[in-house]
Formats: sequence, C-alpha cells, structure tokens
Amino acid sequence: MTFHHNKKRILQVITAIISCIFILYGTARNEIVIVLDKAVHICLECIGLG
Amino acid sequence: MRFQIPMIKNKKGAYTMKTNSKILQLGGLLLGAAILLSGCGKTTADTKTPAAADSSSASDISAADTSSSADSASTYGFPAQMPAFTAKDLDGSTVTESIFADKDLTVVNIWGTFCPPCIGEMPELGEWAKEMPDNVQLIGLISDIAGDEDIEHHDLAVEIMDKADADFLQIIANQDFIPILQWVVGVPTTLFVDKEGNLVGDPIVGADVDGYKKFVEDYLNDLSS
Amino acid sequence: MKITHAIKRKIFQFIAFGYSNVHLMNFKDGKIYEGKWKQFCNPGLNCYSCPAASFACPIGALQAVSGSMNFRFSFYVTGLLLAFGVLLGRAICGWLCPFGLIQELIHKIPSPKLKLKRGFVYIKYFVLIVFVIILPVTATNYMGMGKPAFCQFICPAGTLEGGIPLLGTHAELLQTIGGLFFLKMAILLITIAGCIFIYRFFCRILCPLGAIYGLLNKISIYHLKVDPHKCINCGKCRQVCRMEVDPVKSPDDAECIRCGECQSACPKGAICLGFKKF
Repeated sequence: MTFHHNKKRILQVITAIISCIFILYGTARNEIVIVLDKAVHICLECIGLG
Repeated sequence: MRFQIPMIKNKKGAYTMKTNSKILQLGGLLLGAAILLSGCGKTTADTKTPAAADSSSASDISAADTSSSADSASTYGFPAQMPAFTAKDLDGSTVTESIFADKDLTVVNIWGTFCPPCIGEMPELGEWAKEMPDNVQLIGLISDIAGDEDIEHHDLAVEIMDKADADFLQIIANQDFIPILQWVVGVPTTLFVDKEGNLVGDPIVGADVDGYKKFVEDYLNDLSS
Repeated sequence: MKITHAIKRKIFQFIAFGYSNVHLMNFKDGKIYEGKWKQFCNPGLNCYSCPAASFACPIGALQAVSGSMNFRFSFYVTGLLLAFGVLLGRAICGWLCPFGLIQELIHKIPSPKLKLKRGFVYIKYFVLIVFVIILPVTATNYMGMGKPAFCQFICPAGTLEGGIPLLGTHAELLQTIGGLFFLKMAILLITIAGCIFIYRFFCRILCPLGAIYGLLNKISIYHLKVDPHKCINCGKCRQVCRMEVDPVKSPDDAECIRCGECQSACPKGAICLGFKKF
C-alpha cells in the first residue's frame, strides 16, 4: 500500500513525535543504565556459550 | 531454479566528475577517520574487569593490569594464590584472606547481579552450601557492587540471595581482588582454593554446579588417599 | 574513475562498519569496550559482545530492557528505532548495517544465485514477535529476569562477531561449549551458506530489525518514488532488484533496502531516491 502524500506526512510527524516522547520517557526511567549494563558485560548466553 | 539476470550499469547511475571527487574525498576522509580511531589508545584504557561498573576505578584497574601480569600464572592467567584482601560481606562484616585457613577447600563462586545464569544457579548453590562436608566451604564473590555507595546492586544481591533461599557468605569484590578479577572473562567463574590460599585445579567458567561438585569430590578423595 | 551509485553505497557501508567497530585493539585480548558510548544503539545489527563494537545492539538492548526485572517494554530503544526508521526506513539495512555488509560480501562468492519465495520473508515477523518481544517477558527466572531469546538462540551476528573471537582468545571458554553453541553455529553456517546463494538471506528471512524498519518503510522520509510520466513499464527495475521488489508496484515495499540499483537501471530516469519531496 502506498500512502497518499498528506497522510504520509501526518504519519511521519506523529511517529517522530512519539519517538521523541518514548526516548525521553525511557531515559527518565533509567532504561539507559540497563542498556549500558548489558552492553558492557560479556553475555556468554547471548553468543552461544555457557 | 531461476538465475539472476546480470545487472547493467548505465550512465544514469554515474555522477559527474565534480561530484565524483567530492564523494571520493569525503569517503576517504571518513574512512581514514574510522581507521585512525581504531588505533586510538582509549580501547585498552577503557576496558575493565566484570568488577565495579563505575568509571573511577577503571584507571586504577588498568594500572594494576600491567603490574600484576608479572605474577606467576596458572591456568588461564590466574595467579597461583588468592590475593590478600580486606573486604565486606553483604551484612557489612569485614572478611580477610584468613577465611581460607578455616577449611581444607574453599569454593569461590564469582558472579554478578546482571548475569542470569549466575542467578539461575544460586538456589542450587544455596542447597549445596548447606549439605557440604565440614571441611569444605562455599563463598560467593560479587563482582558488580561498586563500593559502599552502590546501594542499588547491594540490595539486589540481598534480594537474589533471599529469593534463592541461599545464605552462604557473599563477599563484595573491591580493588584487592583485581589480580583475580582481571582474568575473569565472564561470570559465573568458580575457583577452588586450598587452606593456604593457593588456587587448585582449573577455574570452571559457566554455570555448572555438577562440575563444581565433581571437583570437590575428587579433591577430597585425593586428600584422604 | 566514475563513482557509481553502487560504489558510493559500498563506501558508506564500509564507513558504517568502521564506526560500528572502532575498538579493533580489543580483538587481541578478547575484551570488550566498556565505555559510555554503549548507552547508544547502533542503527544496524552489530553484536555488543564483539570486542570491537562501539555501540549497543538495538535488538539486544530491546531484549535487555524488556527482560529486566522492572520493565516489560523499552521506551528508550523503541523510540530510537522509530526515530531511525521514520528517517531512513530500510535504507539503514542497505547503507548502515554492518551485518548487511557482511552478507553482501559473502554473496559475492561465485555460485548460482537463487531467488527466494515471497512467503519466506514473513518469517522475520514471527522471529520479532516471539523471540524479541514475547519471550524476554515470559521466559523469566525466579527473579523475573527474562531470556534474551533472539540473541541466545538465533542471532548469527553474535556467534560470528562475539562468540568466535572470544573463543579464540580465551581457552577457558571452550569448556562452556555445549548444545547451545552447536545450535548457534548451525544457524551461522546456514546463514553463511544461504547468503552465498541468496542475496541477504538473513535480512530477508530472519532479521527482526529488518522487520521493524521494513514496516517503517511505508512512512520513511528517505524514500523511493517512480515518476509515472517517465515510466514506460519496461520492467527493468523489477528484474534488477536483488530483494525481488517491484518498485513500480510497491515503491515503499517492506523489503526494499534503498540500494538504488533500480534507479541505475531505469532507462528513463523515472526512479528517484532521497529525502526530498520529488
């Protein structure tokens, strides 16, 4: 399906706004600490070992 | 099976000379930057053991890296002996290396609150600790509590022990443990220590309670024979 | 030398691979980068257990947060993915994903090249929903920590970029090899073999990230448009497309990675790719 141009524009703006809200809210509830924690510790499970 | 038609590149896809050289220059610049960055010194200086997550200890640990690598190494780089240490347990009491002299064999289970397999084996370890022979003890070494101020990870560790119904001694790792922790690739890693503080056998990496039990059994058999 | 669109894209892909994996020195000791940049997610697929990895993997991060004790869903990572996706859609796959580059290079190995039945492309939505979204929330231990199911059971990028380098530098990890390792190696080998014969085998069939960006292709700002006045319906664009998309029928197809081959092939210059309105 191809969106009509105006409809597409509206969806883009809505998605952009939602993404900003999500990022801010996620940051506010300290999700970044979890992301960092997981990323800096070798997760043996994740790479197929142990 | 259908085969792909070879592609025809025509003039429409190609750019003019002016844009060509611009893109080439920009591409070369960025590529060069990427290569330069890869040689940047910040890699090894930034890396640290699975220990404390705060960045202030990173420089200390990397300084210790170079000095302790001269120690006599046993399997996988670990030193022959546990380092002398003064640390706290989860209740706040002080523990030192004198603890090893209490038993013929100490099983040291190094883990972290971020590690699901470590947490997964905790209930089994808790049970094992209760059933162990009198001359053997199990102690835990928690690698991700960043000092006294790290209440969050401390409380999490307490909660884990609680929910796992485990109550064996848990030592909070600090700088004193760097000679050991720097060789830990991933947790859980389990070490075996005799009453003199020497590492015996090979460290076991990965959650393998049966493996730990087997080593202890074999070691005790050797002792008595 | 004429820089064709294809070469320009390859340059971008190599640069993206470069910035995604700056810490090359870590391969020597088998350590991973542990600094602050890993709070940010790479737009493409790059395992953060790779010694050289600069950033966090977005799919890994999604599972980490939704698998954590206190959360079921990650607003931060989802927000980032929506932002990346609405801006670029699957152009990220085509221009910025390190694992996408690896697959394309593997495909250059001479062999008969095969087409993929359309139905297979829907498997990745199943992978996304079950392994990335549901299992980390439901497959929990007594502490409420969920399994990062996609990373753990499927992702070949993790096995290739993380598992193998770490096994190579740490003998003590060999003892951890078990059934899980054999499963993941099998998936990696199937992926590599698949990529030789089928263009971007993993991207099309399994990648949950591609599934997300593909859905956002419908509204992405970087988009593809076919000028109906110039198009003569010769079908060359469809023939040339290695993702087997028909740009005339579906310019915002969820499988289009914006590689631009169709644009290069169009005899009338009817296809435009970019940010502008056209």
